[in-house]
Amino acid sequence: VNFELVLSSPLAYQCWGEECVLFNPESGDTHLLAVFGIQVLERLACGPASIKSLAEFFADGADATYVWQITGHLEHLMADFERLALVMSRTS
Amino acid sequence: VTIGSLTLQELAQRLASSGLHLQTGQFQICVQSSSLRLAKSLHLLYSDYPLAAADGFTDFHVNLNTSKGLRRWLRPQVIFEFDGALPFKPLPADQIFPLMEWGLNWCVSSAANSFLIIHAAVIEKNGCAAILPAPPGSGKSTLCAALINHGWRLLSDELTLVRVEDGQIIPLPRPVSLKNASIDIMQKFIPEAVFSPKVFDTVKGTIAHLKPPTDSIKRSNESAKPAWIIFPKYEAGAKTELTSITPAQGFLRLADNSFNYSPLGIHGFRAVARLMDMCTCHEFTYSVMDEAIAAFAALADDVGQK
Repeated sequence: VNFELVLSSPLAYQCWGEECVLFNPESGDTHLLAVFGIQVLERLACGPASIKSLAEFFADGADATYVWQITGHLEHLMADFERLALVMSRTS
Repeated sequence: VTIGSLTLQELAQRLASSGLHLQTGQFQICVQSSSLRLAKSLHLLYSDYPLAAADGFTDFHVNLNTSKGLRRWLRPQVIFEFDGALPFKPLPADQIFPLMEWGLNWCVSSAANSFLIIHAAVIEKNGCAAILPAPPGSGKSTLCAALINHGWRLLSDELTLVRVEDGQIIPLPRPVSLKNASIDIMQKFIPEAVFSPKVFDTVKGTIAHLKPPTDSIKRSNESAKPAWIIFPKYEAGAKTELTSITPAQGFLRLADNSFNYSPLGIHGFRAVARLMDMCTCHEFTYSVMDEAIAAFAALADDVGQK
């Protein structure tokens, strides 16, 4: 399953420390996200990606335990993003 | 030339004929009404406002007149009319002044979309503005009334106008609306201030309006730089406490209190983001007014010293 950004790029967001707000021009909604969430959306702005490829990208060569942890985190994040209509999934 | 230069009779005559043209902040307003009650309220609370040229551009034409028919004699009601539209249901005639104030707020909040409009009081000291967004019942207007009689300038009691291009706050000083128990409390706390007579049984309970300080009206053309966003909350018995909140949390709460954040789209988002960069965000709980005034004075003094 690949995830694709629904939002148009460039993304409209602003971060203060670890907290960010993201504006969705399609819905007019504003979301409170962690910096990591913004980094994931920025990565998806470069093109659709699977959770596995995102996990490998953000793990950046770390060991398998970390990849496993980040995969779990990304699964929850993508479910949230899909619910908020920020991303959509496509079966390849 | 101010409204105070007119006698009550002259004001009532002008109001009943072509209408009274006045300047409130950036806006020119024409009010037309044959109500002597409204004339008296305007004479009392708007005496420091400049009269505007009758042949100049007018932002809002409003009429407040009694409904026709039997009702006119039985239980008279007043109708608010804005450029031919009737945005509100008629109200009892004794509520004419609160209706005018609510109506003017509605005019500004629905038409002035070159500003980000926040449901908030806003006051200024030492060149810096404190924005006080809060839902009804939080004690926002009571706190605002106390502060503008203790060294702060009133920019607005109800509508904070943020210029989208640069984040500056544009003043719209109008009478401060006080409700229920806070009326007697403030009459005792600031006995030198001018209050309208109480109006009972409105949708918001008993209402009285406080006349804004003359200096705030004279300085209506002076914008102010926002420095603090403070969410006030009156809680009986609570200690005076100013607590910081993060800009992101402040952002969401401020956007929630805005009338036109969503219609402004990305411009609204950028305007709120800029405000967060310019301001520090806080929650403020209080129960003792003198302590609240001291806490705000300390904030302003801190900026003054810097």
